[in-house]
Amino acid sequence: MHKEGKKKNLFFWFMGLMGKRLPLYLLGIMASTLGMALRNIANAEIVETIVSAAQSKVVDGICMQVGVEFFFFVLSAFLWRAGIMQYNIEGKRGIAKLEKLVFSKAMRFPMSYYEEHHSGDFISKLIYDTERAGDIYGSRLRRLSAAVLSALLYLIPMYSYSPQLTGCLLLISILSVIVNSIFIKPMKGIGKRLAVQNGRMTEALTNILGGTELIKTFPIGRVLGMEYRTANKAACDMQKEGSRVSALLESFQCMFELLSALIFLGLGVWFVARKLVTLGELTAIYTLYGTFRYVFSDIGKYLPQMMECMANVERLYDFLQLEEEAESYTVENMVSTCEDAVVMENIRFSYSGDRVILKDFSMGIKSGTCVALVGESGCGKSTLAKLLLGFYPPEAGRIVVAGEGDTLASRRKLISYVPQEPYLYGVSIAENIAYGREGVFPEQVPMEDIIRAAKKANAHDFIMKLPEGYQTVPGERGNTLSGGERQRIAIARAVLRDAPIFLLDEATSALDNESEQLINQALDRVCEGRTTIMIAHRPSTIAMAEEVIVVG
Amino acid sequence: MDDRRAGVVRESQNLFWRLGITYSPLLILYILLAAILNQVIIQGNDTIAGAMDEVLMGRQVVFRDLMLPLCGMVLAGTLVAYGKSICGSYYSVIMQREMRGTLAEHLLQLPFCYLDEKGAGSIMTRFSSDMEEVGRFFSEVLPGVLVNLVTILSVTFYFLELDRMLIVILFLSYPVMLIVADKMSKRLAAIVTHYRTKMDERTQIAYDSIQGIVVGRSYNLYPVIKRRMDAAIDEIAENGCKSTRISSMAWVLKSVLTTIPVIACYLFGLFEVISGRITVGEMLAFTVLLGRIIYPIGDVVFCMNDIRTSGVAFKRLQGICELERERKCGVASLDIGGADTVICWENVHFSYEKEQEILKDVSLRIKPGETVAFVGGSGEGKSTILRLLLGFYEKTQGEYRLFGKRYEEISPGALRSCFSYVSQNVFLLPKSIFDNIVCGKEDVSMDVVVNACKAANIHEYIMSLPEGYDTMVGERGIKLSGGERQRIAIARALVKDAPILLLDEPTAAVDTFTEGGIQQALNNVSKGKTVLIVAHRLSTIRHADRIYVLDKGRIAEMGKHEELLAREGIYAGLYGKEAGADA
Repeated sequence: MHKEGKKKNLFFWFMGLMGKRLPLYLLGIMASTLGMALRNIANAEIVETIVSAAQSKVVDGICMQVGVEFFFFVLSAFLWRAGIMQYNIEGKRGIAKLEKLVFSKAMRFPMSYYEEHHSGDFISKLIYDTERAGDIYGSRLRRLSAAVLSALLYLIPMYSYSPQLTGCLLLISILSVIVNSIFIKPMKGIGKRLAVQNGRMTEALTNILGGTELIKTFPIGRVLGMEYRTANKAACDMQKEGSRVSALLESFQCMFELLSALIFLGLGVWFVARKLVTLGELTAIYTLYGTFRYVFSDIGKYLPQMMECMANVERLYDFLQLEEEAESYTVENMVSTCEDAVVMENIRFSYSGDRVILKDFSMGIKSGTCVALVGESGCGKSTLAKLLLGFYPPEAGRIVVAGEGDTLASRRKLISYVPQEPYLYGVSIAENIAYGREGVFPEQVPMEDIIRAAKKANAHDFIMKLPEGYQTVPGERGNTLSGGERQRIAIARAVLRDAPIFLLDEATSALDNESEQLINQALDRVCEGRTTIMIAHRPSTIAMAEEVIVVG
Repeated sequence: MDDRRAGVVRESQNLFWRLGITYSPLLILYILLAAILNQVIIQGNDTIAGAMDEVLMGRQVVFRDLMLPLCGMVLAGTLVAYGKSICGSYYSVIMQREMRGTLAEHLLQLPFCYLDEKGAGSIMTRFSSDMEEVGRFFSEVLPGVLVNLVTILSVTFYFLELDRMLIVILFLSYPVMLIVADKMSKRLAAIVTHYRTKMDERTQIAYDSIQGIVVGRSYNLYPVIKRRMDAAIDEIAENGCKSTRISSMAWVLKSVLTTIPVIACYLFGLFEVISGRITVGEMLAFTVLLGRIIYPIGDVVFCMNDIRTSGVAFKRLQGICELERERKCGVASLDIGGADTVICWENVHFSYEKEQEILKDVSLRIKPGETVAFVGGSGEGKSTILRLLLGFYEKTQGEYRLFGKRYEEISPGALRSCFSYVSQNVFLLPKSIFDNIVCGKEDVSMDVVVNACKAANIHEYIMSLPEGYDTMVGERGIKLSGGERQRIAIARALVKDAPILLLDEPTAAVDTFTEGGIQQALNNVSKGKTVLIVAHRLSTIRHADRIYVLDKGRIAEMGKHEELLAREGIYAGLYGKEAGADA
């Protein structure tokens, strides 16, 4: 019962995504359905006119009558088109909105989500599930409601020709829809499992795409290829299962089509024999019934199909209900009164119940000092940086950054972070650096500022040597740039950010001595009067620090 | 471009034709069953028309005589419809599976830099959206067209029996429809191509954003990234609307253009009845048949829209196939015993496309068992040397011999099996630590893995994890620090146990405490192996047999540590700086 309620709500939720434009969308569907029905009725009228004339052998004024009917035919065809465009445009907007929601959601999870979930899973949701769900907006709902609406529309003239015959035919058709509705449940189940399989396939594909270097240097390509094949086969088997169910559905359709023709014949012969209908009326009903029959069997066909897509809607709905990163980890509004730039008190932390990485760790960093965090590999130095950035809430203890508001974003605003592995987005180098400035869009950052930051990070010279200079887009893996070059762009981004705290996670590890020295000099300049936290293992880096904190 | 990838072969065979023909029996069966089904339905309707005529003539119809054949038809129709549907969708499903499989196989054989040409986002979109479109083509469009053609042919015979004149009227309208459909579908295809490109962009942005989540989060980039994505999504929607405008217009035209000849036929039929050439019953049968032929004709002509739309998807998938594969030719295994020179380079030059030369006139001669180091500033081409050695990129000029064999004569697989490579950016697969270390090598015992991990100084750490070697790492699973990742990569290289060890900054992300251990481990395992190290830290390569100093893509100096120091050249300068910095 509860589940039934959810199913219904899910549909309304999905339609509700269109917001104020929903009436326009529905109007479009109605207009197109009406247009199509009117067009078919005009068509039937033309047929009826001519057949009646053939029967009565009276042909006076027939051309005029057919001409008028044809005019209506064309008119309703254009109404049909206007409706199609209307609902399609609204439908596309609806899909766009859904995609935006899914993407926005994917950007707002707690950091642990990205570690627990494969990126292929999200990509599959974004490109596969939204497309399938969008099919509801684009065609499935229209088809279904068009079928229902036109069935009703057809009934009116049919009824006017012969109420008894129409009543009998309707009864048969309703029976067929009831039989077809047994397919709803299996179709939905298949839709869901197919989506899961598709996710697996995308994950396997992502591994192949991401692991190029490994594939070339180790015999892992065979393994990854096999994994893709397995996922592919599983998806195919699932598709086959779906095929079998829809084939069954289709054969039911066919059976009903023939049966209804047979029943129509029987009824027709019976009704004509009793002079309850004329042959002209019977022909007209038959023309209408031909479409009516299709329309009604369409209901039986499209209902399960739409439910199959509803499975994708359900997946997206569940995805959108997942918990996002908290705005802030602390309940009380803590205003730091201490003069330290960063305070960590009695921090305890472990990644999801694994090995405890930090235990009762405390430190205070005075404003304007340069501090090096040292310790063995894996002792939790990088974890400290992540805690400071608010990627995870500490299990116990508290972290205060001077000047932060009550959101994590406000704390991050105070920190210029250079991660261990520099990430460059697939946009130009200039834009990559401009990302450092918060609150404005990248194109609003003056080029001089970008160049100044690049110069400070010792990146300007090599950027200028590139054929396209600052407009160069780093390759997929940044292959055309060396590790040191990428790192320096990341540093330029941090320099442009100009935040009171500089947080460097082994920022110079991939640099050669020469650039390291230049960067260290640059850092010296940049860090003056700024709080700098360096996670370091190089004596040269550690030497720059005024204070050394040993972690672990 | 060609010179850079001289060693690739062109594969221009059309994948879809080949697969389409291989599985065509299903399609043929489908058409056969469809034709039978069609026949059954026509027979049914014929019977009805006949009965109608009887009724009209005032004769009595024995309904029971009709029931039996019609019930038989219902049964046959139901079974045939099931078979037809299965054949049609299996054909599509199997084609999709084979295409996905073949394309994935192809991806594995592409040269190293293929993602620079087509981004990961683009390839993922092709595997998903375009594949769906192609699936639709095989399950709906293609069978639809073929069945319509068969219907047209079979129904035409009935018409021939009725009156040739009708056929003439019907088919006169054909050319008009063709011209209209052709024009529209071409415009539609252009829009769809653009639409799909935008979808690639969208997926690429999504992929980019999720890979860069750490930077995005710490720089509060959400609004910037969201705007980038929204722009792409909006553009997709806009393009979608444009294509709707055209396709809906096509539907209207199709509907009008198919109706005009129908009316003409009816009027002609009326004329025939009036003049007494055919009966009203015949005209009715003809009414039914006309409905069955005219829509197929319209569909066949206007399916050009669908075909051209699917064509875009086909072209895009074919685009993956047309990415040139790495060459496969060359000897499959190398004789590494006899050669007295492991690696020999003579005057090797290299540049990426159109860019300035990264390597100029580099010559190397490396003997078995030697440890050789490359030093120099960032971006001077040290890592590029390793990439050329591995055949990720092709040298633009010069000669490269491995174990005395010319590079061109060795298959890339055989070439790479000679190297154990530890790269700068360690990529871990979303698998267990054990799988990541074994990395596809067959029959590797746990002992070998444990020994490698001990040598790489990572065994203890792994054992401290709750699930030990079965712990999942990579995309999902525990996060490892830079040093831990690097040590896993070293263990991986040790397990591979190739004669040449390539180390690109093996200790970059490792703290000084661990570095000593790794250094020791490397010394242990490099016994009897040829080792090439790219290093930023000169302290790590002091004991190398030979050090090459790179400057602006050239080898500026070479020799032992002491010799180079004595020269007081670039190396001495670098060394002095480091000693000064680390002092």
